[in-house]
Amino acid sequence: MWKKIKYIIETHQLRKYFGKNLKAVDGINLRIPKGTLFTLLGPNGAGKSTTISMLTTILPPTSGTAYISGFDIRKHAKKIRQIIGVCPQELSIYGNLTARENIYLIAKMHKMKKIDYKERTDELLGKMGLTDRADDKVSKYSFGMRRRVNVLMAVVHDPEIIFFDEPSTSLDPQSRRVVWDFIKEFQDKNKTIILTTHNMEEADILSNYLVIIDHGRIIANGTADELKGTLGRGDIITFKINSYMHSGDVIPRIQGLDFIDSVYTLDDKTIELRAKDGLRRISEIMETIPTRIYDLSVRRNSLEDVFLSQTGRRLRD
Amino acid sequence: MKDYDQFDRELVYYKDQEGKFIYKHIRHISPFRKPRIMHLTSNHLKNMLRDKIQLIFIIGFPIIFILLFSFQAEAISNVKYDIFIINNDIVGSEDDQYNYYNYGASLIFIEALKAEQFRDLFSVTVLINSSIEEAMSRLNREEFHGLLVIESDFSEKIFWEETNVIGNPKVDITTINDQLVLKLITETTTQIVNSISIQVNGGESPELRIQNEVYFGNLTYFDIFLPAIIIASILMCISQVATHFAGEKEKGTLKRLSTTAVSRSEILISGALAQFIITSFQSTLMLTLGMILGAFVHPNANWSAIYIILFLLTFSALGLGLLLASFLKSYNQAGVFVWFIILPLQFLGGLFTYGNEFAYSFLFPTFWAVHALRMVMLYGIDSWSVIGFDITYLIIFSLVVLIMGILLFRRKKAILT
Repeated sequence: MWKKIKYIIETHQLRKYFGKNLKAVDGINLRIPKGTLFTLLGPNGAGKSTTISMLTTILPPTSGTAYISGFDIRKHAKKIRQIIGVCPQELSIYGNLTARENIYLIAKMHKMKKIDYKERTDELLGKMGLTDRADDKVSKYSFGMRRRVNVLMAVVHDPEIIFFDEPSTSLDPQSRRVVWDFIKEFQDKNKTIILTTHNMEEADILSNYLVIIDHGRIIANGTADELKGTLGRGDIITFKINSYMHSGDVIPRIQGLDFIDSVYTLDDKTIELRAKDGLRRISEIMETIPTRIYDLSVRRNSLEDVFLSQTGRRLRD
Repeated sequence: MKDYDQFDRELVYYKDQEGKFIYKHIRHISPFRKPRIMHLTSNHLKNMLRDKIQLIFIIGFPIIFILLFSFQAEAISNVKYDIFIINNDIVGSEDDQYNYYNYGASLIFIEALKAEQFRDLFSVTVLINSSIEEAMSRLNREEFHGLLVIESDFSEKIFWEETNVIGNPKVDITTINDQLVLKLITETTTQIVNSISIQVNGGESPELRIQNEVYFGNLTYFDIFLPAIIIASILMCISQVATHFAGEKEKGTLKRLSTTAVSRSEILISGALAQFIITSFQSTLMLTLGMILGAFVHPNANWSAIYIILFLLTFSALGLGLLLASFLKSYNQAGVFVWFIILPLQFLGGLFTYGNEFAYSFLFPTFWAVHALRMVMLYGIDSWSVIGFDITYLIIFSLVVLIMGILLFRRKKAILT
């Protein structure tokens, strides 16, 4: 069947209210072209998972609608489910089945041919480093291994659109890296990936495009660089000064340097400044300060800073 | 327009508003596929049977339940009931060759009651030269358990073809205030009287004509309560279904399945089918074990009828389980809440109160199931006139709860929360 679509996912004023007062998702508009790794970034309870639940046809919207591959989520749930893969936030796996059996089950639900799903399962298990344990019961797996099985179940049927709802939550850095590499591979294959996370690093590394959600609304959107760029360019340098001096005594001296964009105090003893090429020129900054400094750190703008600038609070709060 | 690749996979093309192809989607659809329900059912069974605790429960519960009950029933069965009889039946002289009823139907009745089959259950004493008032006052002092008064026209009514005395042969039964004793004596008396009528009248009794021979087993408590025990075990299916689905909801596996191409009905039916298989296995195990332990099953018992009754009750239990699962959110909630359904069905439904049922027991499907099962298993009666209402009630009840359970559970809300 021919479909005329420009965006593989489109939402129009998508809303989900629970009761009268809880606005989980409050009028979200998205346009996602095919092949994008699109991230919904926000704190817990921001409305990311509810948005995913509506896009994956699990939850009906209160108002508004969305189109997945041109299919309306309100009317064509069955068709949508045939072309999507969903990796839920919770470990939705059968503990008494093996990893292979869990993956086969999803393949069978999509009526895949046996020869196809066997070959593909072997390939996927290999990529996630689970081949040796593929025939063990999942209940005997470590948490990280179960997360990886959870991810594999979402992609076994080679869906066009894959939803990953916080896929690396509570994973150790090594397992997280394996999952990220795995997700990137699908990005390379021109699959459309919708990722929700409250991990800024994950969003920064993986996303082509992201939106920051808070209280069910989009508060910022763009590529990671664009969003970070809205806060100004350069490195952020933070340090503390000796107890007998006040930040007010130090700031005018720093402001005199021509490569400093901005200087502000976090508290009476802590100063944060933004400087072009700050890391290389840090010694010049230090020379202007007539006292000893400690707790020096240098970093780039992060998505955390973007969130902080938009909401006045940190993502982890 | 459909296109296929070299692996017979369906290719679905999409194009943008300018008419350019933007992507193709491969649908891996196998032309030779088992229904998804079969895959899901076998998945549920694997998941259950590989859980050691659950496996112990599935096999161990029926075995332990029936073993314990058989030991307990054996202890109770040692109790013997004393029956006193006042025989007012007019028995003709043996010389009177023209009166067939002179053989004395009442004497045949008393001999039958004293026969070996009932020796463990009743001790029979015929009172001579004792008035009814005297016997009643002794009964009030609980010197014995039951008093049977055989009416004077008993034989005449048994031999009605010869005597032209129309009406039912009558035995007045009075027992101590114990419904179990009353029921045991009444049913046994009725069966013996019917049996004699059939033998004498050549099978004229319409209700029992289906049998060539009325067979009395050596009924014990275990025999009487075996159907109840099996039904009680079937009721555990309510708990199994409710905890199964509530547990899947809690783990998120139901949510995951509902994002695949499988329908909610398929999810539901497969889960129920897996439980049905487990419960049928448990019922068969209990029946077999009960018979190995010596429970009496009538030689004319119709096994198809037994399984129809058991299956109907299982369907009712599945429906009730689904009803509960539609609003329970977790395994623990289900584990607690199911007892509010199972216990009334067991105790108010009269499973363990033989002859002493609660006034509204007839509202419960267990009441009709146990009655029908006893009729078939103990008396070998499967005629529609005797168990037809029981079966009809079970069909209607199971249909109503199954439909309600499916409708409520199919709601999106029920699967997700």
